[in-house]
Amino acid sequence: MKTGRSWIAIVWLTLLALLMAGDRTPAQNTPPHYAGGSPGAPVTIEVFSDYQCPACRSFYLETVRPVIGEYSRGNRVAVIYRDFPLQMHTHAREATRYALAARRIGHDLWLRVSDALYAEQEVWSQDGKIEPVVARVLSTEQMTRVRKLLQDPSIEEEIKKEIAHGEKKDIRSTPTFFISVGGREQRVVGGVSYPILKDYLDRVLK
Amino acid sequence: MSILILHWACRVFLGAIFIYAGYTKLAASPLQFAATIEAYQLLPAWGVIWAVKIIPWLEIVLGLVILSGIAIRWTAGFAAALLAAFIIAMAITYARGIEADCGCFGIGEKISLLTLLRDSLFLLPAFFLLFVRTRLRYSADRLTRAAHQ
Repeated sequence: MKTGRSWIAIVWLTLLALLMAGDRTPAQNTPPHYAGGSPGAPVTIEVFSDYQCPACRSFYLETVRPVIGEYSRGNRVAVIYRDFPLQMHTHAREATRYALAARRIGHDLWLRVSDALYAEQEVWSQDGKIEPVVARVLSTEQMTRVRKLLQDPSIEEEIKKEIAHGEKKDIRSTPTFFISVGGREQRVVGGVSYPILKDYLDRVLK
Repeated sequence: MSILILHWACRVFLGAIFIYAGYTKLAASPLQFAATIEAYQLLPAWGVIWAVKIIPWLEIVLGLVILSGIAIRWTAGFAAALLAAFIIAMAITYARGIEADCGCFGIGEKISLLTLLRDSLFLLPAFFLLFVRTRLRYSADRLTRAAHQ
């Protein structure tokens, strides 16, 4: 009788251990795309952003771009951008598709398209006309390639993976960013202005 | 006797509230607290940077002093003024239609009529301690007075 109970306990514990191990299996993440800096920087900022979110726009244009300009050139700060289009923003996913298509052609084109999408967010988020905004910063040939890439189902797959990665990190609103210094990661929900982030970066990079 | 118990309960409640509020701010990342204050759109960047450094420690020290009972009327008055300042800042932000986190006890709690009402209720024990005079028992003040006598 005692042996029977022991076996049941062993089976239960094994099942429990397998379940817990299953939880810990890392999901396939999309590789990080650096908007500034590169791996090995002492500070890494990973931003989850939505092209149609107004707070993401000001965070990108008024905080992240100056950070890239001042801190990423010497690789003191690496900035990773992740797409997290929210369902409430009807054109965000389409904008993300354009940005990812541009990224497949070249890293610089991705940054150029991202800049344009954020800078002219107020225009395209009203009428949904994203293509003219993107076309303005690409050549005709590049635009033709982007249009072709938009038909590629793997773009949508990539967006799904990015969203899954965000959900795994419990992203509920955008912008949300993670700032890692010396292996310690801080989560920040919402954006901060450049002077505040600069004050923080100057302190941790001393 | 009942006044004494009420006085003691107000001290413990208000002191604990301030200590807990300060602790949650220190437990969150300083950048998160900065983002929360900045979302109120009331302070310039340098003001936000200083507020992040000062507010959590101020709340903890104030909570500890209230618990100890030292100069209770002064500390209760200061606590009431601080609470009033927080409530005014929240009310202005709410009235402007800004969707900001309250930041009162950690993150994820938006400013609403409920948070305004709750924080206003915290004024009651502060006013009680400020206006109701009593001979304090179990307080550092009483101990120091006894030592002097």
